[in-house]
Amino acid sequence: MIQELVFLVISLFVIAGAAGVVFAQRLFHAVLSLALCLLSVAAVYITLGAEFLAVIQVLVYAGGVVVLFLFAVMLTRSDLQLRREPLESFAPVSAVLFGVLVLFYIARTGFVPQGERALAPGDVASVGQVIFSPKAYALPFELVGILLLAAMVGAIYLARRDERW
Amino acid sequence: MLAELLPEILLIGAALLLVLLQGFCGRDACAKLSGYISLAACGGALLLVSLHSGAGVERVLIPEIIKLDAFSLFFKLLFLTLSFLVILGSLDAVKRYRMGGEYYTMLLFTTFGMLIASMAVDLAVLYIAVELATISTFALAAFRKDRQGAEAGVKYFVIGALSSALVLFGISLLYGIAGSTSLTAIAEALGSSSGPVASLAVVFLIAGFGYKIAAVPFHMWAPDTYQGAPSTVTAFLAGATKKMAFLALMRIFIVALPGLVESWAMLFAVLAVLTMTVGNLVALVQSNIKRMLAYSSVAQAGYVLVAFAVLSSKADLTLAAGAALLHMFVHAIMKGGAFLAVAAAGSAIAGRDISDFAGLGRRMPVTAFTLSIFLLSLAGIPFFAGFVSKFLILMASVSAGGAYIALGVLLVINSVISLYYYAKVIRVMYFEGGEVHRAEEPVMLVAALVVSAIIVLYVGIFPESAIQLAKSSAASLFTP
Repeated sequence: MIQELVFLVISLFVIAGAAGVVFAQRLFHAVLSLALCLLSVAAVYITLGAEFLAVIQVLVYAGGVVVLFLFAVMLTRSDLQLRREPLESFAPVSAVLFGVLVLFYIARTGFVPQGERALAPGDVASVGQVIFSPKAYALPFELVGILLLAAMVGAIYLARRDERW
Repeated sequence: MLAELLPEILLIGAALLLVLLQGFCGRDACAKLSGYISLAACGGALLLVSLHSGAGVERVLIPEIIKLDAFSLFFKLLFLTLSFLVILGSLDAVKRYRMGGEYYTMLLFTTFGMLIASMAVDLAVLYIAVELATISTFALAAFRKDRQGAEAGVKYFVIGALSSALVLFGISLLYGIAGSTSLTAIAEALGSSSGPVASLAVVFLIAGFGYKIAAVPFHMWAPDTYQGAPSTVTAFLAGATKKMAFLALMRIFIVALPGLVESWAMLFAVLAVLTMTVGNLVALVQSNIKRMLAYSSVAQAGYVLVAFAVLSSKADLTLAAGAALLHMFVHAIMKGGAFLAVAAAGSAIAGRDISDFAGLGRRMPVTAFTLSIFLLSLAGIPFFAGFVSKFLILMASVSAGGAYIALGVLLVINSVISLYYYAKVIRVMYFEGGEVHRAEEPVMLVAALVVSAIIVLYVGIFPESAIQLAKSSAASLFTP
């Protein structure tokens, strides 16, 4: 009971943060809402017993990504007001309908997600085992490294001014 | 295991070498050197794969993670052939537009990602490999940093990110059901039951990959991106990366979700009808040749989806899947070739409107002739490769009987419609335009065009071996 209550409160924060990103008038506020959303997701991870993931979430997203966003916003045009197109009337309606449909589907079946294995709280060693064992996720892990390199090369190319060669 | 992965190692090694190389030489020299290195790497990988493919091997490289079977070899052959042709053609285009060596780096990264995706039998690996290939193409689409290029890149990026999110949502639902990302484990966990959550996953996966293959309700990005990207990149996008999404669909749905075949095949049937019809009808009114080819690409994806829909029938499934495979291969070559021909024409013609191509038959005879071959093949004229693969899809749908025949009939009607806009280009090239001077044709692009045209004609005139290869590759998908 108390668990569900905590989860509900945290979920409200997640949703409020996500809504803030979409509806904020100023870019700065949108970024702060994003931080709220990401931190609340970290809280969800803690309630699920995935402390390690929660720490990573705070370090990488709230710590790294959001701070980077804030720097970018403040260094460029902090006074930037977002011009919003008036929402097409059917867009929110279809979004809500789809959400209700998904909820209905999942509630009706009593869907219990299966996890691969339950980790003991703070069990970083077994996370490492899964990521670095060649029989498990070592290959995808290495692939992610190449993916990041490719993204970096592409981003540098696009951001570079050509004349400076 | 390393011996089987040699093509991938060659490609990624060359890509990393190119990344380092950019720091050590001047721009134009670097671009030239990078081009030759990547051409050599791609050629070497192609040779290695084609040596493998005859043996009919099935090797499990890492259990439940990657597997080398006839199906993945077929796609490796497709991807590497197209990458090789595009790199060959790009040697001219890169010089003309003074594009840097990063161009080839991104092409190699994409090809590497596609090769890994062809072997993946685990959703995590498949997703990351697909992402690797897609992210590299974002930069390629915006490679000419002008207004149109930026539009192409931004549209492609936003839609790509959205579709990846949808795919990931679908994958997470499947993981929630099975507790594993392995395709065979998901198939076991699902059995023949079709729970609501599984059907929700199917919807998410089809919507996500639907964007990537530009099936009709999800196609609006394709014409803008194909138009704004450099023509050589468009050849690569339409020819190779789109096929990677088809590959992922086939792997996931046939291996992991055979229990839900009724529901997904019906969705594919609906998509096929929409995609064929809308693609062809909108292509009729296009005046820009790249947009016209983009819509024709949408329509051709619809033909492949017809074969997907037939998979729910009781008929010969390897015939349907093989027909889909063959059409993907043939389409990659002929559509890639057509866009490369547009790139070649770009050396003498500024505009990209169909009317700008007037007199191309006398101005650039080889380019115009090969482009005509690709267009006739796209229309499905006998003795061209496009006829063989379309006929195979038709055969699969007719042999399945019932409502599937209607899909086949619609395919034929659509082919007839499409003939009009393909033939229009040929007419403009040969029968319009006054006195024109011969223009010099870019050598490397012409070489790529001639090779593609030879493949199209060879498969069209001697189809037996290609059909056999496609069917045996498809068969390996059904044997666990």
